Order: sequence, then C-alpha cells, then structure tokens
Amino acid sequence: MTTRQIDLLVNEQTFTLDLPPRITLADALRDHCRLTGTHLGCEHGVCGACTVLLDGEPVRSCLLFAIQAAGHEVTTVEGVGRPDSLHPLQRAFVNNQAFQCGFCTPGFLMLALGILNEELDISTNDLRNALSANLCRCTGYTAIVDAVTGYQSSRKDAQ
Amino acid sequence: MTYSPTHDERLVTGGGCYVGDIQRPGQLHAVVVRSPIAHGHLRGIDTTRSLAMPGVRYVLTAADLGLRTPVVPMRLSARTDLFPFLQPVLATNRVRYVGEPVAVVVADDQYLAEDAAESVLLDIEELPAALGDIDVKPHTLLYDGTDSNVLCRLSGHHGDIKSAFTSADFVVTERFTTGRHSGVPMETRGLIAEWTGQQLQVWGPTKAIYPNRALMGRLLGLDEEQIRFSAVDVGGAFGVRGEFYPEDFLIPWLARTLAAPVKWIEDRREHLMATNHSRQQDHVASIAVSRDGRFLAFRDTFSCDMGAYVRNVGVRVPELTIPSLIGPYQWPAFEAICSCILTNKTPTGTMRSPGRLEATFVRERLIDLAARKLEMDPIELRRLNLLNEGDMPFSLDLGDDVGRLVYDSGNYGAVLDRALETAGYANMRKSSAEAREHGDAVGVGVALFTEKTGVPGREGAVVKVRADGTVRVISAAVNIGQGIEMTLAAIASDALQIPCDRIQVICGDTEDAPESLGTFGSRSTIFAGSAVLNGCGNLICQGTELASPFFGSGAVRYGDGMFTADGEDSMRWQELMNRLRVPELSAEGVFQHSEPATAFGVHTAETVVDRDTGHIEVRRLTVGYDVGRAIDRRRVECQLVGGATHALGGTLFEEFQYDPTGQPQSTSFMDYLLPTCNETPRIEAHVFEVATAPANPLGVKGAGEGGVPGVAAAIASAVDDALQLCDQAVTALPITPDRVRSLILD
Repeated sequence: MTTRQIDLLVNEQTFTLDLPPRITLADALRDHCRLTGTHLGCEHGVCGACTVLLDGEPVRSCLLFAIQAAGHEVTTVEGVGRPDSLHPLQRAFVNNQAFQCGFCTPGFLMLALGILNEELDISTNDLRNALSANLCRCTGYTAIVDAVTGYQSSRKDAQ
Repeated sequence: MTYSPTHDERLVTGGGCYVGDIQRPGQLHAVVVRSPIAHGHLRGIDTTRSLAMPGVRYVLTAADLGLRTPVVPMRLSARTDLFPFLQPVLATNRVRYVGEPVAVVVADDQYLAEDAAESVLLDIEELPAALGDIDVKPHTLLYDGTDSNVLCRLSGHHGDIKSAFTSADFVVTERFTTGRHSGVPMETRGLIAEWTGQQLQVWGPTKAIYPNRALMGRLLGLDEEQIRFSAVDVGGAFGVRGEFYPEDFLIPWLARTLAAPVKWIEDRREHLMATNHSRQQDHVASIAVSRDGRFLAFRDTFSCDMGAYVRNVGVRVPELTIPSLIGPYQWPAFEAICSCILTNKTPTGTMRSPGRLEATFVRERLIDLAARKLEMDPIELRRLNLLNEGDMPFSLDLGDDVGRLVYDSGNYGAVLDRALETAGYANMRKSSAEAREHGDAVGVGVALFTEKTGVPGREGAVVKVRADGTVRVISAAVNIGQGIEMTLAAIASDALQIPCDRIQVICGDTEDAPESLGTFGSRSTIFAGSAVLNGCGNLICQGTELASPFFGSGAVRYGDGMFTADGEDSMRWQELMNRLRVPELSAEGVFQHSEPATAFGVHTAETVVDRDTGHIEVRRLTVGYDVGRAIDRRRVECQLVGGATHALGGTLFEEFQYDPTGQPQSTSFMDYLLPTCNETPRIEAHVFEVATAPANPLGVKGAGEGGVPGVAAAIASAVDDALQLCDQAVTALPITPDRVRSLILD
C-alpha cells in the first residue's frame, strides 16, 4: 500500500503523517491525529457532523482527502476551547442546552464559527438557512439557533 | 487542584468518548458483508479472493460457527411460536433482506477490510420478494413449511363489539397507513470487543446492558461475570441502538477467536438497512358513536410489516399498539386484531414511543372524522368521552394477548384545558380562520394521547460517601444523550443535601453497577431515580446509626448534609468516616414495581399548505404534557421537544422505501430525509405537574417519549383544516407533497 508523507497543520500544530492517499481528512484527524471530536454521521456529506474549518471556512471533512488539506490550516473543535476555558460560543451552547447526546455538536460549532467568521452581520433568516446544512436528531434545533444568535449578538456588541 | 470537566463541558469541546473514538492496542477492524439481494437461496460464499488481500486476518461465515448457527433470541417474549423466525447471526442457506449479514471480514484497518469485503463473492439464486400484500396470495413464502407470510395474529377486546356497532347512530370507517421509518440516531452502531483470556470487555452495548450481557454470555458460552460492558458516550439511541443484533454476537466471537481486539463501526448506508425499522402499519378502523357524541365502540383490523425476521423484541410493537388505541377515552366496546406480516425487508423493532405514534394517529384521525360527521367541535367530542379523575386508577382487561391496560393516575380534563390555554389554541383557531378568509390554506389540529412510561421491573443503585465528602452514585441506567446522570445527581443532592458539584454519577458500566432492566420505555428517572432516592435514605439511616455513639444522649438527626443533636456540635460525613477509620460508607437502594405510570398529553399544530406544490409548513407545534412531577423541568422540556421533532420527521419526511425486487431505495440521508432546522418550528413544550405517580417515591412519570405520540395526528388534522376537506382526509404518513396534491385535486 503506497503512502505519502504529509504535514497537516491542525489547530496550529503540525502533524507529520505517513498516509495512504485515499484516507479522508476526517479519518486522518480522528485516527492519526487522535482528535476524535470530529464525528462521522454519514460519510456522504449530508449530515455535517464531520464539519471542520479549512482556512476558516466550514467543510465536510468526510468528503476531503487528507492530502487535500496539506498546505492549509485546519481547525477542529479541539482548537476552539477547552473544558476549563470554554469559547463563548461553547458557553452559549451549554447555557442554552443546545445539545443532548453531543454527537452533532462539534459539527454545528464549526459550522457556526465558519459562518460568522465570514459574515458576522448575517440575518437570522440567512443564518438559519446556513445552519440547515447540519442535522441534529435530539434537540429540535431551536436551542442551537438560539445559542448561535446569542453568541452573534454578544460578538457584535463587543465590536 | 485538578479540573474535572462536567458532562456538558466534555461534549461541547469534542471531549466525548463514543465507541468509534476508542482505539485498543493491536485492534483489528471488522466489516460485515451483507446480502445485496432481498430474497434468495444462498448457494455459496467464496472467500478466496478476500482472504488473499492485504491486511486481511479472517473471513467469518456461518460454516465457522458449527453445525447449528446461533440465532438471536427474544428478550421480551417467550412465545415459542415465533422461534422458527428468529434471525441467525449469519445467513446459512437463505437470505431474506438486503442488508442481512452473510460474512464478516477482519483486517488490519478499516479501509483494507472494506476492500476485502467487496471481494467476498456470494452465489445467490434470486427468489421473488414478498413485500407485504396480505390480501393477495403471496407468490413466495419467506419460510419453508409455512402456508403464508402471516407470522402470527394478536388481538385485544373488551365489551360487546357487535351490538355496539348495530345499535350505533353513526359509524365512521377509514383506512390509515403509517410509513416505515425508524429512530436513526446521528451516531451509527458500533462495538469494540477485547478478550484477555479471562474476561471479555465490550464497549458499545447500551440500553439494556444486563439482559444483553446475560444473552451474550449464553451465546458465547461464557459466565456473565466474565463479561464487562464499559460505558461510552452514546450518540442517541431512540430504541433502536442497544437491542441485541447479530453483530453483538459476531464481534465478541471474533475478538475471542482471534485473541485481538476487534472494532466494528457501522456506516450510515449499512445503518439504514441493518438497524431495526419500525412504524409500518396498515389499519382499517371504525368508530361507533351515538347521535349525541358518545363513543360506543372502537374496532380496528390492522397489519404490521415485521420485516424478514423476528428480532430481540419479538412482536412487542403490535402488542403495544393494541392497548395504545384506547388512549384517554372511555370505550364501552373495543376490538383490535393485528396480523404480523413477514416481508423481505429489514427486520423491525421498537422505537421511541413504539406503536403509539401509529395508534394515536389512527384513533385521533377517526375521532376527527366522527366530529365532522356529527358536526361537533372536535375538542368537545373528545371532552365528552374523556376518562376523568374519578375513573382512576383505570383498568381494562383486553384479553390474553395484550393483557390488562392500567392507568395509575390522571386528570385528563384539567390538563386538556391547561394545555389548550397555554398553547393559545382559541387564538390559533381564530387567526387561521381569518387567514383562510384571505385565501391562505392555514389550519389547526389537535391530538390527545396517553403515554405508557416506566416499563416495570426491579432496579438497584449504590450510593457512597467518600472520605473527602464527595458522593458517588452508581447506576446501571445508561446515558443515551438524555442526561440521566444529571437527573440522578439532582435527586441525590436533594436527598443528601449535598451540592450537585460534589456528586459524581457513574452510569452504564457493569463493573460495579447493580441490577437494572435497562434504559428504555421512559423508565430511568422513575426506576433509577427511585432506587437512588432509596439508596440515599438507606445511607442516611446507616450514617445516623453509626454517628449516634459519638453524640451524647440527644437523638441524632440528619440535616443540611450533617448529623446533629440538640445542644451539640454537628458532625459532617468526613468527620464520621475519620472517626470510624473508614475510607467510605455505602448503601444500596432498590426500587421495584410491576406496573407502568401513565402520562397524558395534548399536541396542537398549525400548518400552512401551499396548494400548488403540496408543501406543508408546520408553523407551530406544541406539546402539553402532564409528567406528574418534574425533577428538572428544563430537561423534561428538552425531551418533549426532541421527541416532537423526531415525530415530525416521521410525519412529513422519513420513509424507508423499497422497489418491487426488495431493493432499499432509502440508503442515505439524501433519500431518507431528516428534518433540518428549516423544517422544524420552535416547538413549545409545556410541562404540567398535575397527576403524580402514586407508585414511586418521586411521584414522577417518564418523559423521554412523551413528545412523540400526537404529532402526526395533530399535523394531519391541521392539514385537513387548512384545506377545508369535507369528504377527504389525510390518512397516510408521511404526508408528502404528492399526497397533499392528490387530496386537493380529488
């Protein structure tokens, strides 16, 4: 089995890995970088549980090969905040009970951060449309939308 | 001071540990080879090519399992008539559904295992697929030695049905169908098994960990004590994760045989064809009423599409559907007859509120049609026939197949009033009528339901206080995403008067946990919660007795987390243990009960229908639910909202479809549609604490499934109202745009 050595820059840390070309970015992150916060819900690019940021933009890591991410900056949920110092968006998720089983949560966090990084002033309607890219089976979405719009407000206020 | 993240902080920072996240040293990866054909004679399996592929360690087929291939037995039934239809862990000489396990490939990594799985050659002589027409003589039988694909019949009955129908002023009859769908959690199934030579350790089992462990032991020839199920985070269960499937035998078998850890993680395509389906039923139901609106009788002849095999739960879904048809009403006569039909489709099982979405849909729709015929207000018709507080406890013997229906407590009329008021029902009716006058198709619907909670059994818990003053609660209840451990912490905190942040709850691990039937049927707050409460009481008693010698003559009491006596200094747990020179004190608690606790609820829905496209927008969806008592109101609301969203999916979008050869058409989320945030309104959950449960010390009823039952009926009713249908009605789920268009055009 042929492998290629690549450097993956994830959460500002470089991982030098020897990988078969066909391994997906999701699998490389989970199995080789041991960053298991990025989850696999379908591997068809529909559910969004695998969403990470690639140069700040949300992407489905199940639909990318790891080697496609070489030379780019990958951000996963582990790079956002830590249990003893939560990112304000993570804090908003906790306060709004925006998760139950937690499986879709990292994907939603990265999607939300990516959307707001690109356009902080996005309207609530457009934000909902953008968030509809990801699936959740537990919460009914309202708490998730509330957490994201709450965080959006506080970021706009801080500007 | 070390920082110990709470459950919430772990999950929101990617710190969850789901079974797919675990890596065991030296682990191998398993991929299940599944039948690509819905029905056929399995003539042979050629594994030579796959065995020769890189990284492949083993290819398992039924031939390796001995002369008698193990079957997966039933957990919830002892019906011997169903034994011939149980599923073998691997297909032997017949395949009966697309997705049926035929072989397992084990390799060094997942990708290599998948490569090799594609190279396993199956020689299948195809047979026509039987897909469920019971009136037409099936051209092929699933099982030799049978004369039809009717697996069995079940019935429930009460009163004199014949004379009730003959004497009725009005009879309304209609056919209703509910589409095949399922729980479909965001995390697919997975298992890791590791054999140490003495002990089998397994990650991934959930739901009913003790019964599953016993079953695994039986099938593998191991003592239960040799098997340990370790807790993992779970990405939703909804009834379908945690039943015993063929893989629950195959993966541990492989781990033991290969003396290496074996990891199997199902992918989504597999999940949609291999994990239990549910809900597909076909009813012809009738209601007999008097001219002044009294219910005289309810009659229903229906079929359940069981799929190709009888699974772990037996015929539980039809068994639960029949009594669920009764609902919160008084029926002088009742009859329901169910035919369970075998088909060449994925086998079925229970899912969130099993049989109850279906039964509530049929009954509430029929009541709406009766209201139309009688020209009565649909709420008034219901109110007239509701069971009331004076009828409680309510008991109805429905015969041998389904037994006695029991409602422990309830004040349905009062809760109905409050639910409608909180939902703003009167305003909804008014504003939708105004909208219709302006030409918009806006409508409102209501549905009432009873919800069986707290599947009976016996449950234990252990409560320990440690030398540092912290408390450890051990329960075999499982965290499936509902946060049970936080509810248990709240109960313990309240009982012991020790702050929540000093309480650690360990759930779902067989290592120390006492007995439990499992986490399903909305039972864990009732059973695990009551067991924890009792355990705390026992611990306090024990502590008080042990503390007494250290006090003077005064009677020792427990209060504010301390032992006290009049006129003396109080003593904390830490000090008591110090004096006794013990590292911890512990007590067990048990709760046992033989009957469920029945909750009651009301769904309302407001829909806007696009007459041109048939698109339905659910603008409002509310659930008013009497939970008896809420330990954590917010958590109950979350469950109700989640349950209602789940049901929304089955009402409008989700369906497993098959082509005429039995090929599944819904094998990805592009075909099997889950609601996104665009389709889901801000669901309003109103929790009422009216009729507490008399039988458990907490007075609680369950809520995990309470958001589900009335959603389909309420939305269907709202669509009828929006379109102002007179002779037509929504009678089929899912309510697709096609079906709406047909109703409009007819």
